[in-house]
Amino acid sequence: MTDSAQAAAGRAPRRLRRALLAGAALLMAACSGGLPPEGRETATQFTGLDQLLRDRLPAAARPASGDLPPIIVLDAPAAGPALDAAIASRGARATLVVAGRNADVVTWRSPDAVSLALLGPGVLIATRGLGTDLHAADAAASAAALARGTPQRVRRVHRRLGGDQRLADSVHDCTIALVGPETVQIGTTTRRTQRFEERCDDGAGGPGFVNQYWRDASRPVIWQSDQWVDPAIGHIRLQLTRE
Amino acid sequence: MGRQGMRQRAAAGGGDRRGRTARGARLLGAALIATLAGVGPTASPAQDGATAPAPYGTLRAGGARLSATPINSFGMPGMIDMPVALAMPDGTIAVSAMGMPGTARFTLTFQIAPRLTGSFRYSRIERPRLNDTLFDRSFDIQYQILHERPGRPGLAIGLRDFIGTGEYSSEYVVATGRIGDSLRLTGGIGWGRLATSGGFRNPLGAIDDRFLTRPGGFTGTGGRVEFTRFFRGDAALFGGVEWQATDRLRLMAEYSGDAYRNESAPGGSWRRRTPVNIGASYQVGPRLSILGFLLHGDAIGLTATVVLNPDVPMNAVRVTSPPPVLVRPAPEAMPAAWSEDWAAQPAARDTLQAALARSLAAEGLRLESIVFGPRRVEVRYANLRHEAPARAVGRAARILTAAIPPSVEEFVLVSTTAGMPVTAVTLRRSDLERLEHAPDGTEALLAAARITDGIGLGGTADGLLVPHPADVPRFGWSIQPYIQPAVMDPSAPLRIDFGLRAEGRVALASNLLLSGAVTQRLAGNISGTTRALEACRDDGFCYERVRSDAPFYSSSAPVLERLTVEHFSRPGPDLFGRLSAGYLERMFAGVSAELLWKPVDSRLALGAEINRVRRRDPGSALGFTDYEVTTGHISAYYDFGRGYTGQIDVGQFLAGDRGATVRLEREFASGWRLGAYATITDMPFSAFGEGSFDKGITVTIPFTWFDGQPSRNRNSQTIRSLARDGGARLEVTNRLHPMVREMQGGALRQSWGTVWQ
Repeated sequence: MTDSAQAAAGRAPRRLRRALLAGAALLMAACSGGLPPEGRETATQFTGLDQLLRDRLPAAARPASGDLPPIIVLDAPAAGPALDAAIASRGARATLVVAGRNADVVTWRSPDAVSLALLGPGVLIATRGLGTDLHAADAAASAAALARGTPQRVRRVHRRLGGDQRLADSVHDCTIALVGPETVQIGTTTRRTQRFEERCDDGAGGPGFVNQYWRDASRPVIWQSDQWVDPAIGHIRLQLTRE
Repeated sequence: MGRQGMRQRAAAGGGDRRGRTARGARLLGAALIATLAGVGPTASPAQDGATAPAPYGTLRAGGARLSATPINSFGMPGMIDMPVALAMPDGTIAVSAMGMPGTARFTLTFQIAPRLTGSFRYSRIERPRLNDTLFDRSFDIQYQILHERPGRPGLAIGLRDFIGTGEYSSEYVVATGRIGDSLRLTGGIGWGRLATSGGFRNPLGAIDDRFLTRPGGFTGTGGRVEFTRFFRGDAALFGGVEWQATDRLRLMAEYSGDAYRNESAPGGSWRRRTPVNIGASYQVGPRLSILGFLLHGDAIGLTATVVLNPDVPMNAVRVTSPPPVLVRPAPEAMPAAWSEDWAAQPAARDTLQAALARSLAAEGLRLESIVFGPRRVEVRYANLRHEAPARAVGRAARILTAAIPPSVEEFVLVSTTAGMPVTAVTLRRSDLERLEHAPDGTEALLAAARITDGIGLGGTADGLLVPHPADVPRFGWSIQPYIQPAVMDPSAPLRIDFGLRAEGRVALASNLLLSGAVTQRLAGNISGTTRALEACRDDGFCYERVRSDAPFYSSSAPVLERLTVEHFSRPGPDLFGRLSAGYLERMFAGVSAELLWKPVDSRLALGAEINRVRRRDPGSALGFTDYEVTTGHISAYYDFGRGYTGQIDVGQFLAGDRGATVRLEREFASGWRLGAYATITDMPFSAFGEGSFDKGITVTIPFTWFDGQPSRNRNSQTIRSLARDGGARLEVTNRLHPMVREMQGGALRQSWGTVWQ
């Protein structure tokens, strides 16, 4: 995803931290080549010269460090399905292409190896490469309701992978409601849609979250959506720019 | 450098400089990063609830809700100097540094179990009363008898500085309770140093008169638990109050029974004017807090504490998107695709193998060999990147779905290390297709997987030599800086070497490795100018010098640290073998043989190692001295579950002394490992010298925890008492147990959550 504008507030401390990280890396800077020592790729270096050099690459070609997704700007593919994704909290956006299809799930992938798995008409059920990923979700009921285009009460389960490498589940009771017809502009195309809102409580009694879907007025296709990932990332906005 | 030296124990003695140096450098860096990241606003939001501070708060009339377990100037749960009856969240690590006039303390504290807190401390204490400066190691332990709950105080018993010379030696029983949300009261009774002011007749004297007097000094050469001192002598009361003024600021006052007799004597930098201490603690970030205090009305001091939870990484692991599962077309739709003819065509197999090697390499996996069948393929791979072995399995499996013809239904993924096949995971391809996006896909795939010994699978050549894969480089090299601290030498506590280490390696075969390392010191002050005392028994017999001569092996000229040939093998099911020969470590050269029995899902492992080594001549690159010795151990390893592991090594050590090492460790899924060990041999304590026997603590930190980049890099550090001649173990690289264990059933299941990551 593209890192266009880091929130200015977060920039200075991050930069400081990065500089200090680089300092620490310099302390441990090492270079190596060829056959790695047995069992580990880089047993003899922590952050090697490659990481130091990386910061000298032009920003556009530089994979990010820290908790940001990697940054590589590529032009959108000329043909085939395309999905625009934007994460406001990170000022990141990218165009994703289809990397895999398995039954009702389409896996979309950005040029820099962030991927999103969308179920049915376009309900997000997994992310990879964002750091704090949505590992898996049981959102079959949501997907079914949106495919039918009917308001419904549903339950969804989100699974996250903890630092202890265990999956933790959160269960959310949600209400999918029809807000009304809306036309949305996606690229140069205007789509007539019905806007649905999925209002979910937080399984633990917290503030909960709201997903928005702009579904095609007559077909089970979600042209645009704001789907919640987690408190650190917030919502991700998806726009299906080419079917 | 081999993995053993990198990651695992820094066996006994000063000859482990090879291990220590890099570890030192990295630990320093990691600690730096830890501290910084703790301050930064971008630190992980997923903090442990119990240690995370609330957001910035404003001063409220009634105060704020009491936050995390307070840490005192001794680095233990406490107020300023006094303890509190509170435990940290299980597994928490607190690293603290305290400075005040005349005294500095560095403490590593670990919540060993929910009720048990332990800490290790290194202190510099100016003692004007004795006209000296003491560099002191101390160990504390606190046991939480009752956890504090609303309406019920917590109760704890603790021993401060209970091993060794006992400058801080004291015992206490303490109770802590809260009044409302923001006020906490603590009261207790202390013995020993905690009763050097305001002391009264020991109430335990009612049980036995022996409680009335506290023996002074320490036994023999120190370093032992002084049971005869516990809870003896005068007792005194202590107590205090804490008030959480804002979400980040806590104010404290305490009454102390510590007279600071040696430190506050005339001629020192401060005087004890009152038994009362006051202080304020400020939570700077999610991990860092600063405690400022006025001790006894005169000494101003600061304590900085970083609190880490090994299960809550500083940066979540950020993986690249995995290759998706490629679902096969239905056989009736494309019957030709399901043909099994390809398996009989060598050209097809070669093309497949080359494509597979490329795909695996992109995921940090090295294809070692492959056995094709029309319905089953067996693949041997080495995981070079993923700290979680299950993630490597998941990625390899998905790559196979894209590369292997549809007729193959069964994938056998055999992980290898040093050419040895270790563990096979057998998966059905249709399960992979079915479960890729299933909400319970992780659990279901584990239930469908078979985890077995990998011997004989995925390759035909398990003989003497396993061919090295053709397109993988045979040569490798690296150059890196090192720092070698010679810590805790009582006569010169700050000795350190800094330099560069160059390493080279050649894979003569997958399981036959030639490697070497040369170091060049750039700066440093470790030298062998003053020879440590020889280890001699009362009857006049003197042991051969071993690690006490380690400083003589430090040099400003280039040093050949290591030059070895290593051979690895699978002599039979559940068995692993290693043969090493050459310049095994800086101080010794010779041959080393090891055999390990470790079934894939066994909690128990047994090993045997035998070495015949000759001491190297510190003055020449390749020369030897006359000393030759056979050293070796029989080892038992046990996994107690929940991350607790134990190890016992019984055998003969480098100085010819015989005995055993007992080691207990706690390991976290994230890769953090903390442990302690002690080695007792037939060398008398008096001959061993200061500290009486070798003991220490080990800390292993995974780099992934800090930077979120998947990698198997870890840093291991041993903090030991003085490296002497007793209980010194040969430092040989690539010992088998840690190599094998982290690839077997237990580790796979523990990391299974990552299989679809």
